[in-house]
Amino acid sequence: MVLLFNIIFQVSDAISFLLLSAIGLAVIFGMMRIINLAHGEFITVGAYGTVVTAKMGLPLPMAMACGVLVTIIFGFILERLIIRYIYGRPLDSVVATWGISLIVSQSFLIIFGPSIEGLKSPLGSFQMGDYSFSEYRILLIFISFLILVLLYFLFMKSRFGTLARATIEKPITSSALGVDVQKVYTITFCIGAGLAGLTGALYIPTMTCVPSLGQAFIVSAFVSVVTAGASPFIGLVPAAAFLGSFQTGITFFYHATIGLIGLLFAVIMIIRFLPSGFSGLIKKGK
Amino acid sequence: MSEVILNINKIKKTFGGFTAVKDVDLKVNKGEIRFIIGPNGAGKSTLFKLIIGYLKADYGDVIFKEENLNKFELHQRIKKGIGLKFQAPSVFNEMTVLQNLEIAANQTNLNDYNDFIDRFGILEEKNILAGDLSHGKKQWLDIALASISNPDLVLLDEPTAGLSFDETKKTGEIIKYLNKQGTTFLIVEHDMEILKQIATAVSVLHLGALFVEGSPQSVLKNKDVAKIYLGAS
Repeated sequence: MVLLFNIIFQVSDAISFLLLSAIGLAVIFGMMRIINLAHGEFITVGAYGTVVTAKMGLPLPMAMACGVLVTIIFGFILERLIIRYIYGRPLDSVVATWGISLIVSQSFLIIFGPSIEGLKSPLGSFQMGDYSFSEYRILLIFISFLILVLLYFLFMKSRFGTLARATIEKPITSSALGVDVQKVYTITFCIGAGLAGLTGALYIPTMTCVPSLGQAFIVSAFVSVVTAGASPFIGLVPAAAFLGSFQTGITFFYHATIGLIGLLFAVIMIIRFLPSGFSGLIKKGK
Repeated sequence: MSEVILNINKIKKTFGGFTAVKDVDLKVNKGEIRFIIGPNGAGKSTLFKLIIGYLKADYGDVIFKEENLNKFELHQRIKKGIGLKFQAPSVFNEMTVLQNLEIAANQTNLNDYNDFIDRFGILEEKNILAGDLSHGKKQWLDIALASISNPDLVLLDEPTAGLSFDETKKTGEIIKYLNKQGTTFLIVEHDMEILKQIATAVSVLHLGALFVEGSPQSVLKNKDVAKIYLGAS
């Protein structure tokens, strides 16, 4: 019983990590087709925003909200100055966002040093048999699914979501129907940035606060979004569930490094045999 | 005297050394169905793109309802009461017919629009993906998108491209119906059948300049038009 709970916990924790890693990228890369190599730095901004404001005395939830807000502002400035000029130019977006990534991570190093004192993990832990479980990480599992459900309704069921998907599919046609395409792009990009910031804010109580912390998320984020397919909000849950279970299973029996290799092998197989990803598979099944 | 709804004033567009549109003056009166015709390379599509702001003119003005549109972007021009359909059907393939119409109508509840949608022969398909419609129905959906917000002027670029004879006839009936409801049309077209069916005025472009304009009957009888447009000797 304890072993079963432990397995369920480990798998769910891995899935929620993949989901939360990917949510911001699902919007910026999955929807807007900007290959955002600075996704990890967006997460870092959210994390540092949370830590700095928490150290100033704000309660953790408020500090997390500030972390998200700072990342939205950061995303807004980047979109206005750089990103808006590279929509529809995916290769250029690789170079531009890679440059942003380097500048931001080095700036954090110069401003804050190699590390700053992090935050204590909120809530406590409980014991089952020989295993100890963090209550906060269980909360993160629920939060990750809640965020994804909210995103699904925002982008697939709301008027803004319809406009955003239409604008991204055919910007000139949208403009010909009176849609302010630039405004929709800016708002959508800021939502993606804010979600990445939220990931940083949520995970920073469980991590060491270093300028490169975003790098821990970048592989998980890209593999989840790529295997999710063209409709990330439909394909992300099955993609994360499959990859998370696969990685945890191998890690459980072998080692974390072998688990990561197994994850990447699974991704290669999915790309090979499911080129339209999990969302393509779901759409085909309908 | 008829009220002028669109006034193109001495507009010019060059690409490098090539003049695509040469000092064109064109007026569209309220209530008209005006066709712009001309042989290939006459400058019809360029003029269309200049009117909607997709291309920037070297000089000249586009005046709509007495307001100069030069400084406005495409979406801002649309908001002023213009509907627009490009040559190829530009529907959102991954969305349902209804979702397409919701975007164009700028509202979510289209329950009162069933009669309107039925006019375009797409009521039964309103809940299927636009990408699954036939080419003809995509063209009609596209015209519906251009006209659902009840604009004063609708610009159509070759609305019958790729349509059969019967589909072309129905397209003409749709446009005529919308015109009776008060919408003015400016249509770039090759097809002479629909022109004969619904045009109230015709402007002929040739080598980027306005060649002749008048009633459909007078233009179609004009021997010089036949020479340049049909290549007759």
